[in-house]
Amino acid sequence: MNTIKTLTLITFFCLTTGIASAKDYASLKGQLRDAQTGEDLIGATVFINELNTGTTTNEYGFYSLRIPKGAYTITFSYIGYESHTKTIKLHSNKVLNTELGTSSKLLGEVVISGEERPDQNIKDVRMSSDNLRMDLVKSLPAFLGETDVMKSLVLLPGVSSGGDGSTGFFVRGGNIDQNLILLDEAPVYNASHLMGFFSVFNADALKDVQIYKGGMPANYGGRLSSVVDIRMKEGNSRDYALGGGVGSIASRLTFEGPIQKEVSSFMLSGRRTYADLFLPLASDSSLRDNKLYFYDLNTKANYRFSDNNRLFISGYFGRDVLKFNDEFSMGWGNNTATMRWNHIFNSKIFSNFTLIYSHYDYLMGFDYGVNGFNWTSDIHNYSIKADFTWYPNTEHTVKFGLQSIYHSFNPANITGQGDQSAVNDFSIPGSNALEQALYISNEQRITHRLALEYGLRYSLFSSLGKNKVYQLDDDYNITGVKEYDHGEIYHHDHGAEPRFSLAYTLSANQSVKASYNRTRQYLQQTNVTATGTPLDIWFPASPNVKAQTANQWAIGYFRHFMNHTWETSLETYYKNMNHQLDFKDHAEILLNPKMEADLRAGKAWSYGAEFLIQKTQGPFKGWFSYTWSRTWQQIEEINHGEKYPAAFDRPHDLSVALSYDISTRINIAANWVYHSGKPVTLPIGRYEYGNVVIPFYADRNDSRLPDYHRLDLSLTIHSQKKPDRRWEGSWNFSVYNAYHQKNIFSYTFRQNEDNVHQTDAYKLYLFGILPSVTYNFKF
Amino acid sequence: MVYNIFRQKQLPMKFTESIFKLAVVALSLILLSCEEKFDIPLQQSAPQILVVDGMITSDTTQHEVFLSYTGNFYMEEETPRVSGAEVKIVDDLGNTFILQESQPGKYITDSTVYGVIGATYTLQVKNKGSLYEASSTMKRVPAIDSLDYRWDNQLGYYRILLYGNEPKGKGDNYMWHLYKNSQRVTDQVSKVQVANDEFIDGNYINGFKVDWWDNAFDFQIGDTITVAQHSITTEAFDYFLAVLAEHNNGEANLNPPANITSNVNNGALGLFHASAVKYATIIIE
Repeated sequence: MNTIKTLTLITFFCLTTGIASAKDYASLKGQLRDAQTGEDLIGATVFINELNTGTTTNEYGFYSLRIPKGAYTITFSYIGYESHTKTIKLHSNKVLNTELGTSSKLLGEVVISGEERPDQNIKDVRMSSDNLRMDLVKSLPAFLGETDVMKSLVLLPGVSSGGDGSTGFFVRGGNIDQNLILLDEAPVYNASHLMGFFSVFNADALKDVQIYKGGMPANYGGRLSSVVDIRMKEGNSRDYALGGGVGSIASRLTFEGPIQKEVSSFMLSGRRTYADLFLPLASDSSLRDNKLYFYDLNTKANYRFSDNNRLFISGYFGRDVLKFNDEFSMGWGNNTATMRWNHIFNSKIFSNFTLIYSHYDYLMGFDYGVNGFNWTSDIHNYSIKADFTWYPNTEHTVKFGLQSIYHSFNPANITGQGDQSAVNDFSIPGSNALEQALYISNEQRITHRLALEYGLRYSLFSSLGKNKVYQLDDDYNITGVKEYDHGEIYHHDHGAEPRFSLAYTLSANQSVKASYNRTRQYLQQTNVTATGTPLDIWFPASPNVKAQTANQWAIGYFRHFMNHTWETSLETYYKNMNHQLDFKDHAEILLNPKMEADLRAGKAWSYGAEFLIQKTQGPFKGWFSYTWSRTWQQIEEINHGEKYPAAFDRPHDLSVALSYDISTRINIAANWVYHSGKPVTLPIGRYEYGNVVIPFYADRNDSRLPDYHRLDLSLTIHSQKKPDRRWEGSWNFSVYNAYHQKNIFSYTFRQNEDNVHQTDAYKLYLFGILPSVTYNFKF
Repeated sequence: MVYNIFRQKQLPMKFTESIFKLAVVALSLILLSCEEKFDIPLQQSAPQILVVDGMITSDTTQHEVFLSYTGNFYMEEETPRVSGAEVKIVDDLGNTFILQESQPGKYITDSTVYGVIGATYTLQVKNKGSLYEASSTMKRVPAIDSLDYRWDNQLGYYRILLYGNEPKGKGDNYMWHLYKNSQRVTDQVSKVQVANDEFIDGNYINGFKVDWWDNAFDFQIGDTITVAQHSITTEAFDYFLAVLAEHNNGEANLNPPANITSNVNNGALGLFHASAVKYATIIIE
C-alpha cells in the first residue's frame, strides 16, 4: 500500500518536472577539479548568487543546472579550498569547468572570507551522514602512526567501535555485517588486516569517505544499517608525484601522474608491515620462524575520451599472512576490481555504467601428520550496474538505475595435506544467488526553505542451484534434504525499500530535517566472536533464512554559529530490525553443513540521540560527539525469549577529536574516546560436573564490563617549505593510550593454584602506552 | 584420527582461540598486551539447584551417581553435597537398581550391576520431596584392535595411539578414559577426549591420539596404559563439548556464555548417561 503511494508520488513529481522546463531555460554543466592535481572534487558547491540556489558536484566532480537564460555570478566552493567566483552570460547551454586551489598553509592567518558557503549541511536534504575530511583525519593521532579511516569513523556520533583490535563498527544499533563498505563501488567483505588491528584502507590512496547512517539514498542497498562509500584518488593528471611514509610498523609508497597530460592519469599505492622482520631477533627461539604481515596495493587509472566520456579502472589487492612454527599457517585477503564508464548523454543526463568484481577468501593449513589438512573458504561476486542522474532544472535532481549481482559462496572446503594425512575430504556445499535492484529517487527543492528527497528501491534475491537445502520443522529439526540442479532457481525473496528525507531551512544558519528509510539485507555474516575475525563467513538468505529488514525514522536539528565556522547538530532516531539472527546456545558455528538449523531469528530495535559540534575551518579544527542509545534484541529460545541488550549496546558513547595548527609547520592533535562497557553474561553461581567447575548464568548480557576510555596524542612537524624544492617531509610522533588505561580486551575465570575451589577473574588488555614515529614525504 | 584436530564441534572454537592467541603473542612483541587479575563484581546470591553427575556402563561394577547443589561463584570451598536422597536406576527391561549413599553426595549400585547395549536407563532421584528423572540409551561400541605409543619431541611426552575399526553408519560418539598403572589419569571431564564419526564414518582408525593434547599425563617407560573406549549418546557428546566451552569461558571473546542444557528434568543441572565400554592395554617399553 505504502509502496503504491510512493510510486504515485514519484510519477506525479516526474510529470510536474516535465511541465516546468521551457524554452527560456539553458543548462550549465561542468566539472570541478583540484587546480594542482586535477583530482575531481566530490560534493563541492556551485552557487548562483542571483537565484540564491545551487547544486553540489557528484562523485565524479560533475554538476549540471538548468536555469533561465541571463547573466549570473557563480561561486564555486569546497571546504579547504579557495572559493572561486565567475560571471557568465547564459544564452545557450554552456560548459563551465572550474579548478579550485587549496587554501595555502597560511589559511590559519587568513580570515575566512564571507563568500564561502559552508552552509551545505544546513540546506542539504541529507541527514545522518558525514564526510570524513582526509586532511583532518590524517592530522589525528593514529594507532602506531597508521592513519585508518575505519578507526576515524568510530569517532563520529552514532558509530561505535568494535573495541581494541577490531576494525568492525556498529551503526545505530546495527551489527558489523550490516555495514555496506564500498571501495570504488565494490563491496569489501572483510575490512580488516592483522585480525583487526588495521583496516584494509590505505589512507594515502583515498580521496573521499562518506558514511550514511540513515536517510539512505535509494541508489544504495543491500545492508541494513549504513553505507561507507570510499573513493580512491584518480591520480594527478598534471604532474608525477611520489609520496609515502616510513612508520613504526609499516611503510607506504604512492606514485601517481599523468599518462597523457589532462587526458589520463594513474595512481599506484602500496603498503607493507614489517613487524615480522623483527621476529628473528625474538629471545624466544620458537617465535623466530613465525610470519605475520600484510600488504596491500591500490591502483587506479582513468582516461578521458572526450568531455562527455570517461573511463575509470581501479583495483585493490590485499593479503594477510600468518605462519606459526611450520605447523599452522593462515592467509586471508580481499580483491576488488571496478571498471566504470561515465557518459554525459546531453547537458541534462549524467550516466555511469559499472562492472564490479569483489572477492574475499581465507585459507588455513595445519601440518600435523595424519591430521594435516587445508581449509579454504571464499566468497565472490560479479556485479553490473547502470546509474543515471537527470537534472531537468534547479528544482529537481532525479536519479534512477539498476543493478544485478551474481553471488557465489564457498563456506568451507577441507582437503588432507601431506602423504600421511588421513583426513577425509569434506566440504560444506556452496551456494549461488542473484541479487537485483531497481531504484528511482528525486531530490526536489520545493521552496527556498523546503527540500525533499523521495525514492524507492526494489530488490529481488534469488537462490540458485546447485545446492543442497535442509528442510526444517518448527523446532529446527531436520526433516529432509532437497537437492537443486545447477542453475535452478529455488527461492525468491524480494521487497520494496521506500526512502524519504526532508529538510526545512528555518533561517540562514538553522534547519530541521527528518527522514525515513527501509532497508533490506540478503547476506549475513556468522560472528565467531563479537568483534569479527577473518574466519567469519557470509551466508545468503535461503528457504530457512529470511531477508533482514529495517525501518528507521530520524529527526534532527542543525545549527551553525559564528558565520558557519561552528556546526552543530542534534539527531534522534528509532530503528526496528526484523529477522535478526543469532546462534542458539553452544551452537556449532564453523564447519557445520547444517548451520541453518542452529540459527534462531528474532527482532531487534534501537533508539538514541546524537549530538555533534564541529569546527571545520581555521587553525583549530575538530569535533565533539556524544551519543546516547540503547539496542535490544529478542530472539526465540535465547534468554527464555525475553528481550536483552545486544552485545554492542553502548548507552553512552563520547568522542573528542581536536587538531590545532600552532604554526604553518607544527600541528598538535588529540582524541579522547569514552564509551559504556560492553554487556556480558557473567555467572551468578557455579556447580561441579566431572571434577570441573562450571559457571551458572541468569540472564543474557545482564552485566557490563567497566567503561572504556582512551586518550591519544600526536605532534606533526612539517619541513620548511622552500620554493625551489619539491620535497615536502613531515615527522609525526604519536602516543596511543597516553594515560595507560588498561581497557579490557577479554576476560577469563581461572581456578586459583593454591586453592582449587577458589576462582579468580583475569583480564587481558592489549596496549599500554604505545608511542610511534612516522616520517611522511612527497615530492 | 581426524579427531585430534576435528575434536569436532568444539574444535573450531579451539581454532579461533589459538588463532587469537597467536595473533596476540605475535603482536605482543611490538605491543604490550598484558594479563592481570581484576575484580569483577557478580550478583553474589546463587540459587540452590540440584546437580547430577552419573553414568551407567556395560561393566559389571559399582556405578556411581554424584549429587550436589550449585554454589556462589566466588566461594572458596567445594559446592555443597546432597545427602539423604533416594536414588535408583530403572531400565526398560524391567530391572530396578537401588543406589546407596557411600559418602556424602556419592551414591553407588551393587557391584553386580551392568548395562546392556540397546537398553534405556532412567535415573530417578527423590530429594526434599521433589522427583528428578533422566534417561539415556546405551549405544554400540567397537573393540580396540591395538594401542601404540609415540614420543612427541615437540611436546616432550608420550602420546597414545589407537587402532581399530569405526563401524559404518553415522551417529557414533566416543569418549576415552586413560589409566596409568590402573589409576585413572583422566580425572576431570576437561581431560577427556571426545569425538564423533561425522568426518571419519566407517574408516579404519589408524593411529588416533586418544590423549588430549593439552594434557601431559606424564607416561614413563614401564608404565601400563589402559584405554577405555566408551560409546556415548549424542546428548552426552554435546554436553561434554558445552562443558569444555563453558570451562574456558571468557577466553578470547568467543560465543556468548550460556547454561548447559541438562538431560535431567524438573530444573536440575548435570548429566546422567549410559555408555558401553571396551578396553585395551599397552606397556611403554
